[in-house]
Amino acid sequence: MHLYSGSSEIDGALSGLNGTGVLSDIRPPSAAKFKGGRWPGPQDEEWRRSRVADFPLDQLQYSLAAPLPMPGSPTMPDFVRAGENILVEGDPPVADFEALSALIRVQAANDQALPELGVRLSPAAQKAGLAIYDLLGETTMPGNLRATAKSMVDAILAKSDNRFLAWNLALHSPAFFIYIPKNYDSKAPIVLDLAFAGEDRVHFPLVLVLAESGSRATLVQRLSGAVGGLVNHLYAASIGANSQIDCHALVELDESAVYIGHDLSDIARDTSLRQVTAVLGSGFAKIRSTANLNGSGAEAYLDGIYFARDEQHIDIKSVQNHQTPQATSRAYYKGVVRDKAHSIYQGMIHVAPHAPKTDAYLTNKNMVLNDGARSDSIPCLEIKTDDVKCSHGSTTGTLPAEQLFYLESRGFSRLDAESALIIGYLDEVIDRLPEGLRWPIRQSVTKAVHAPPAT
Amino acid sequence: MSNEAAVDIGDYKYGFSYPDISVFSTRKGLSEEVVHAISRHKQEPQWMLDFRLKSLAAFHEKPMPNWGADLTSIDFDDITYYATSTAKSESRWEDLPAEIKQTYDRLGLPEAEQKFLAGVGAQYDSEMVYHSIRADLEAQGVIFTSPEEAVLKHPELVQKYFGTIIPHNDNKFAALNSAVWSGGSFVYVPKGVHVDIPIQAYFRINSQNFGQFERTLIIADEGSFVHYVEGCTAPIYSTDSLHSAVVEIIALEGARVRYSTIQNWSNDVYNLVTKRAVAHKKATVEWVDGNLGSKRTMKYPAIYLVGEGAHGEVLSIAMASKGQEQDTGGKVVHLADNTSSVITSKSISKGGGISSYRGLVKTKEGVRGVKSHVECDALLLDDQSISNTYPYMEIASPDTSIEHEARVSKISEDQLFYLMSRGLTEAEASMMIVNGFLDPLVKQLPMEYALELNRLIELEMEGSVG
Repeated sequence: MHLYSGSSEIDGALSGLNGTGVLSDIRPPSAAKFKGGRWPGPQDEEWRRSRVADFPLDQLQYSLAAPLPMPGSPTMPDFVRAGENILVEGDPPVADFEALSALIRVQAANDQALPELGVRLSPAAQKAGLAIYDLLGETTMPGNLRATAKSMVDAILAKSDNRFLAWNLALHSPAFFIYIPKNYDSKAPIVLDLAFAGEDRVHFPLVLVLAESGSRATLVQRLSGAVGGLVNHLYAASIGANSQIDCHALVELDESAVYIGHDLSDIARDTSLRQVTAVLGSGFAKIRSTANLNGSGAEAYLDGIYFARDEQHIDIKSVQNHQTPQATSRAYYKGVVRDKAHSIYQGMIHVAPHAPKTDAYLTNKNMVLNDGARSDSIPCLEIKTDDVKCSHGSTTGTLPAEQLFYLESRGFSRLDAESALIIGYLDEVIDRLPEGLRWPIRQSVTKAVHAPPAT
Repeated sequence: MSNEAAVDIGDYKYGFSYPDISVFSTRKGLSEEVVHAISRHKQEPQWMLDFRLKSLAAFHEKPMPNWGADLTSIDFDDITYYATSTAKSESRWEDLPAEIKQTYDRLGLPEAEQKFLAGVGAQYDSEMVYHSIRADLEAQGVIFTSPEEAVLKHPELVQKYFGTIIPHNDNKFAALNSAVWSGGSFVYVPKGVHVDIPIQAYFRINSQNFGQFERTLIIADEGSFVHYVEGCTAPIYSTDSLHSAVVEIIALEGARVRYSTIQNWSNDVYNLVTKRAVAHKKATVEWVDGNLGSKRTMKYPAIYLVGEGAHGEVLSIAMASKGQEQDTGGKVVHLADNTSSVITSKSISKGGGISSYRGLVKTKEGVRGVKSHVECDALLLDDQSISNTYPYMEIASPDTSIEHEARVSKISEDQLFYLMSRGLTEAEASMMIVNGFLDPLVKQLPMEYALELNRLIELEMEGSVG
């Protein structure tokens, strides 16, 4: 399997792909934009505190993805029976659900096609019209959905403001299109378990979601692995009117991995988007979550938790972009930083001149556990019209000493007391996740609290 | 519902000017020659000339800021950097040239002098023209003079502190000021002395295309207290003027300094000011900052809390009307234990004006017992105006309690209805609500400034509702 190096061999990779894939048209203009740009640097306000160009980005290698087993393939096992709890494996487990609508499991850059890899749909979901397409190997995707996928990436490329977006669009792999039909209604989540194998590799996962009007669905993306590598992740959702979509991301990559994540959601009228991002892994993460509120009655809830330890660097930006009147948005991010870690939260509420009656709020709370850890909080507002309710709040503090004493005096060890208090602190956001995810996340946080600092 | 504010220029109370009677003036543009000429004219010692020249070099090296208000139409070559109206300071009101006396008559200075003030230094085209210090303050050892005089008469104090809080190469505009500074105030308050009456100074830009580069240095020795008040007015001109002041304040152990400003430059002035204070152990520094005028203001009064138990406060009001950008805020850096800070910012935007809050709260690793509270509220009076908030919190220590909140809103319809249903017109009701919005800050100003501020806001609000 041929390996391409960093940014210099992008033309070779494109010719290796040979025009295959649903989105082959976007590759050349994206590659051109990538080559014509530069890595973000300290003169770019959003990247000022995250010096991503210090990494040897041009030395990382990638290969072109092998095709994945799809529903109906003879190598696929039977889908899990209803009524049985589904433990999505991992250490700690990814999730513990009663039922799943779909499970997408990927291990990129791997020669072997292991049985559990691929895309599986539950019979109920299939019957209800849920469909998942592999954009790299797809042949059965209907023309209208192909057109939607193309227009989504065209729009992203046109507005892309950094090199990573163009890089992902040029080389997207693995790449999925998730189609949630009109009036689809299921509490059983769609789980994407993206485990990145290999070392010192770059991965470019692309996930596009089209949720038609009246749909109700839950999506969970989990990213793990990528030892010594870079994951350049792009997620974009177009959500139709009167829908309710929950979309969650668990970043549990290896502590040597670099994660660059962009997610964009376009929300139509009378629709609600609930999103929780939990950053418990990777060594360096730079995330931007954008909610574009494009219709009146639209609601976006962008929440997140982060636990940064050792020398982790976690930089999260959330954007609440009000482009129409009478929309509501909330952002609530809570984080803990310890050892020599550095967390940055940049929030933005942007209200356009033609968006009166906006109701937007943003909150960031940070806990700094010791000297040497650092937390930056930069919640911003850009308001261009007057008939709005917009505020934000930010607090930074530490573990309350009296509460630690209370627990320790009743027999908790120091670490158990700390994890109890930290989980209590983060629970306000963890409770916004679907039930099947809460216990595994709490496990992950406990594990992180107990992990001794790397010397 | 909202019309544009119709401020009739003919009625503008401070819109007058006198024929330029500058006695000495450099030619337009900036060069080493100009700096030499300024230094020579002030008869400065070599060390101050050296300081100016290295600042000029820094100015040329430093880039324009790539953030903040829009500064693209400043033309540094089209400005006169120095002009005087008389060659020496006056110490008695009666000895002042008649024209200048008339200017200050109209500004209301004589009444103030008679009733309230300890001593007044009045600035007219870059020089301290007039100051008088009340006898008892002089007896207490308080020095209140022009910085030129301080360079000549108190060089040891000046050399100890000048340019130490804001270094000559801190930023492009501080470097400019450090090269061509002229006028301003030098205040030294000895140990334990409390100055009960506020010390004031006025500034004016009078010639077209004239820059104002006053430099103020306030040293409050241990246990002392002083309240310095700065208020500016300028006539309306059609070409741009640049005001780039530098204010340095040192509050030594146990001292307290309050620095109040109402800035009402006319709408062609670029007001780019660097203000910074250092507070030592148990000292307090308060900045009270009102920004109403100018075309573009960029000003972030800062306090470095370097001694244990020090306290810093920034109270900021900004009003941005049509064509204006007020980019203001405050910065506090906690470098010692048990320090506290409060930043309160209130801004109003109308007629398409842009007001932005930009602030920083930073704590050093290892400090203990830090408390900080920041509150920024913005009022938008119509749907064309813009309000931005860019607060930065950089916390590197666990033993801190940092809070920040911000709110943006318009005048509440419920409150308007309540007042109008009791007989007030919409304009009167709006005025009352805006005054209420600003009240917590206005309360902190000396009475004549509070009155002036209220009158200025009334003037701005006229015609903005209806």
